[in-house]
Amino acid sequence: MNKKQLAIDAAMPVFFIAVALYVIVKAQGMGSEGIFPTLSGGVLLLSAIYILADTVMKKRQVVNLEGVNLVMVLITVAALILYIVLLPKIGYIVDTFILGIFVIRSLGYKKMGITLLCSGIAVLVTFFVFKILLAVPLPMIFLEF
Amino acid sequence: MNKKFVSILLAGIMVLALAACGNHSSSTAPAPSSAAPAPSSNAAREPAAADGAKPANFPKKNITIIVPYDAGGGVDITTRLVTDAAGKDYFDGKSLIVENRPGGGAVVGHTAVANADPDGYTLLAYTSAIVNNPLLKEVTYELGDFKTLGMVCFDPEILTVPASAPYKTFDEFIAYAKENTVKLATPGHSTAHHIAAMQFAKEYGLKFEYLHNDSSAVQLQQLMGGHCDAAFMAVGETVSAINDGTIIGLAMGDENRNPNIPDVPTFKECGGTMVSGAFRGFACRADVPDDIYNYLVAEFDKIITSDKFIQAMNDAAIPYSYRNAADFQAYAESVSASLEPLVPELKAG
Amino acid sequence: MSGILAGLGALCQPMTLLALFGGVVVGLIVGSLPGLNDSITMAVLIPVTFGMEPGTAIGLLVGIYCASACGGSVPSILLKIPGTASATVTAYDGYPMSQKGKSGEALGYAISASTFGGLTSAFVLLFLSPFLARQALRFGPPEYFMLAVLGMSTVIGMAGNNIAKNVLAMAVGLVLSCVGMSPQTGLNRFTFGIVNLMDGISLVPMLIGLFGVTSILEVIETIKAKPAAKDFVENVKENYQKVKVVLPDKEMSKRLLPIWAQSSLIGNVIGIIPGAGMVMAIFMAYDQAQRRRPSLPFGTGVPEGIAAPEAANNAVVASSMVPLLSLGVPGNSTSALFLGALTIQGLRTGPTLFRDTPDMAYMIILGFILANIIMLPLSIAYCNVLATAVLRLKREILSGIVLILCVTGAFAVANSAFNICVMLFFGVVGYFFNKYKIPQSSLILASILGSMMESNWTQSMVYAGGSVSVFFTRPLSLILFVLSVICIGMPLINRFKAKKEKTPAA
Repeated sequence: MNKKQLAIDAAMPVFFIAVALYVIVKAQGMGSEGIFPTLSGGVLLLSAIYILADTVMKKRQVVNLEGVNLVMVLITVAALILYIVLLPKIGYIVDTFILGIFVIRSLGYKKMGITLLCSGIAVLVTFFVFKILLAVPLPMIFLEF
Repeated sequence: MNKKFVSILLAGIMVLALAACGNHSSSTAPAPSSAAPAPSSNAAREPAAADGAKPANFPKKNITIIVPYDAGGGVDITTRLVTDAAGKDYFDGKSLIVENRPGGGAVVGHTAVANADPDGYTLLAYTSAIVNNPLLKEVTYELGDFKTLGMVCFDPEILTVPASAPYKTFDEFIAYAKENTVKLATPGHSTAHHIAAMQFAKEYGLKFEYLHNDSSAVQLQQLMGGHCDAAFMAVGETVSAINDGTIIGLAMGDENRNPNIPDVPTFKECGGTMVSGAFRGFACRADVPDDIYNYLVAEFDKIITSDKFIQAMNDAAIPYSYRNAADFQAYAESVSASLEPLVPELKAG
Repeated sequence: MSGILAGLGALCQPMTLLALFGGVVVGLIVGSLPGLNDSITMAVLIPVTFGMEPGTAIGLLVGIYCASACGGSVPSILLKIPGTASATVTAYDGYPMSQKGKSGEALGYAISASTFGGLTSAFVLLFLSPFLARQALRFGPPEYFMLAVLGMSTVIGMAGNNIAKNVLAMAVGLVLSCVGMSPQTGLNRFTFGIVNLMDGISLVPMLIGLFGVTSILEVIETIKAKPAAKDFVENVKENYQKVKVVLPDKEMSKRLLPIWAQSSLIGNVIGIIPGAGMVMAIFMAYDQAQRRRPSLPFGTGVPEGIAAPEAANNAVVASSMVPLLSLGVPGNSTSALFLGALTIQGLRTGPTLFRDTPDMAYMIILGFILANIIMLPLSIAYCNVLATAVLRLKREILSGIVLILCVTGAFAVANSAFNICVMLFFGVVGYFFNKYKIPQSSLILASILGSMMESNWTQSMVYAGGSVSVFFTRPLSLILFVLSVICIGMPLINRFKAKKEKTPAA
C-alpha cells in the first residue's frame, strides 16, 4: 500500500507509544502510587510496539478513509466545543436549540421549518424532563424560577 | 396499541404528579422505636447574631444550597429535610433549592460556592470536609472563605471491630493494639474517619495500618466480614449493625452516650479525650454583606430549631445537634486548629 | 411464612400497586433515554418520597429500578446507543439484528431475557437472602482483586482474532482508570489540576461519548452533497413499516433457556457482591454465552448475544438488595439509594428489618417479583410504540434529538459541564477506535476494573504484610484465580489447537 496509507495506519500505534511513554515517565515521580500506572503504561507500550511492527511488516490496510468526510467530523467536534464554551453564557435552551439545528442541517436535511420545529420540541421536552421533573440545574440565563 | 400506550403513560405521569404533590403532606411513616435523641451537650439555644431584619432587596429569587455529595446520601438527605421544613414559610416566600455537585470528596462543591457571587444566593451544605480539604488537598479555597449559618447534625466517630474479633472491650483492644499493628479500614484516604483514626493512634501511641476503601458501604462490609481488625465510622451508620450484633462498638467520640446504642461508652469515659465526629450545617461565602448574612442566620436559625425540622430529623434517624452560627464557626475553627499538627503526618501517607 | 403473607398484604394496597405500576413505566422511559438512568431518577425522587407512605415510596422505587435495566436495551438495539450503562453489551448483537430488519425479534429477546433474569433474582432475594449475604461477607480485598482479574480475563476471552488490539484497548482502559486520586494516599494522578477529575473519569459520560457521540460522528462522516430533501414522516426503509415486538417462541425459548439460566446465575452472583456492578455482569455473561456456543457468529445479530447481557443485568437488580436487606450493606450505588429511602421512612435494614417490620421486608421482596411480572407486558407495549416512532424518523432528525439527549444527560450526571467535555473526548476516542478497528469493550471493562484491581491489590498487601500467598491460601480467592486462568487459557488453547489442525491441511 502507498506511503500515505501506511502513515495513517501507523499513526495509531505511534500515538499510543507516545502516550505510554508519557504515562511511564510521569509515574516515576509518584512513588509507590506509580507502580500501577507504570505497569499499565508498560503493557500499552508493548502492545503498541507490537501493532506498529505488525502494521509495518504486514502492510495490511485497516483504516478506510474512502468517502469519509473528515472535515465535517472536525467541524462537528468544533461545534460541540463551542457549545460547551457558550453554555454558561447563553443558557441551556438557546445553546442546545442551536446545536440541534446545526446537527440536523449539517446532516443534510433541507427543510428549515421542520428542522426548527423538531429541534425546538426536542429541547423543550428534554428541558422539561431534566429540569422540571428531575430538578437538574441546567444553566439558565433568564427565566429563573 | 396506541391507546393502550397512552393510557399507560398517563398513569405513569399521574403517579409522578401524585408523588410530587404528596411531597408536602405530613409524614405518616411509623416512627422507629428509638427515642428521640436530645440535642447534644452545648446546645445553648442562644438567639442568632445581631439584627436579623430582612434586607431591602433580598431575597429576590430562590436560594440555592449546594450539596457537595451525591443525591440520596446523608448530607443530601439532611439538607433536603431542611429545605422541606422551610417550605415557603421563610425567606419572604422564596424556596431553598438543593443542587448536588459531587466530586473530589466535596472539593467540587466547595469550589463552586467559593467561586460563586457573594450575594447570599448560593449557600453550602457545610460538613467536616471543609476542615479537611484545605489542609490536605490542593484546593483553591480555605476554611476562612466561608461563614457559618448554623449546625444541625453531629455524628460522632465510633471505633468498631468485627463481631469475630478476640477483643470485645475498649481496654482489650488497646492492650492488643499496643502489641500488634492494627489493620484499620476507612472509607477513603483523608476522610474524617481516617483523620480521627490518626488522632486516636497518636493519643494512645498505637500503630495502625490503613485499608482505604471506596465507600462506607464497602468499609462496613469489610468490617462485618472480618477482613480488617477495626474501623472508624460514624455512629449513624453503625447503630443498626451494632444492635444486630454483626459488629461491636467499642467507644464513641461524643460527650455523652448515644441512646440508640446505650452500651457503647464514650472515649472520655474510657479515659481518653477524643470528642470528634462529622458535623453538618450550612454556610455562605465569608464576604456576603452583613445585612444579608444576619438575615440568613436569623432565618436559618428559625428553621433548624423548628419542631417540624427536629421531628423530621428524628424520623429519619439523623442525629440532631444544634449550634448557632457563632458557636458553629468557633467549633469549625477549633477542629481545624486541632488538625493542623497532624497534617505533615497525613500528607506523608 | 407469616411474614410473606404480611408482605403480600402490604403490597396489595391500591396506592402501593399504583406506585409500583407507575414506577415500572417511569423506569422504562428513563432507562430508554440515553443520558438518564435509574440512579439520577431515584436520587431525585427519594426526597419526594419523604411525604409518602412507605408502601408507595418503595413501590415506586422498586418499579423504577427493575424496569430501567430493561428499558436501557431499547435504544441499544435500535440505535446502538445504550440507554443505561447496563445495556452496553446488548448493542453488540442487538443493533446488527435491528439493522437486518428484525427489531421486533431483538426487542423480544431482550424483554424476555430481562424478565427471566429479574424474576430469578427476585426469587433469590426471597429464599436465599440470609445465606447469600453471609457469603458476600467473605469477600475481602484478595477476593475482590481476583474478581477483578476474572472480569479482565473475560476481556481476553473476547479477543476474537486480534489479541494485540484487545490488549491495547485494555491497557488504555487501565491507564484511564489511574486518573484521579489514588486509593491509598490520595495523590492526584493525571488530573492536570482539574478538580472534576479527582474522582476519576465518570463512567456514564464516557459511555455516552463512546456510543452516542461516536454514532453521530459516524453518521456525519458519510455526508456528501445531498440530493433534494424528502418529507418528514416518510418511512426511512421499507423494512421498518411497523415494529411489533415478538417474544421468542417455544422452540427459541428452549434454545435460549440455558443461556438465560447461566447469565442469570452470573448476574445474581455479581449482584450480591457489594461493589461489583452491572457492567461486569453483562460482559461476563456475554463472554460465557460465547464460550457455550462457540459456533454462533456473535456480533452479527445472534439471539444469545442479546439474551445473555439482558438476563444478567436484570439479575443484578434484586440480588443487589440481598446484602442491603440482610446486612445493611448496599450491593451497588442504586441499592445505596434504597438505603437512604428506607432510612427516611424510618426502616432499619439488616436483620432488624425482618424482625421488627417483616411486612415491609417482604413487601419489598414481593414487590420485585411483581414488578418483573408487570414489566413484561408493559415493556412490550412501550417498545411497540416507541420503536416504530423512533425508526420512522429521518436519520438526521433522530441524530439531532439523540445528541440533545446525550449532551443533557452527560451534564446531569454531576450537574457539571465538564462531563460534557468528557463525553466529547470519548466521542472522538470512540470514533478513532472504530476507524482503527480497536474493540471498545476491553477499554470499558478495563477502565472500571482497573481501580478495583489496584486498590484491592494494595489492601491485600497491607492486610497480608506483603505476602502474595494470601491470594492462594484463601479458598474463595483461589477459586476465582483458577476460574480466571481457565477463562484466559481455554480460548488460547483452542486457538492453538485450531491452528495446529489448519496447518496439515494447508
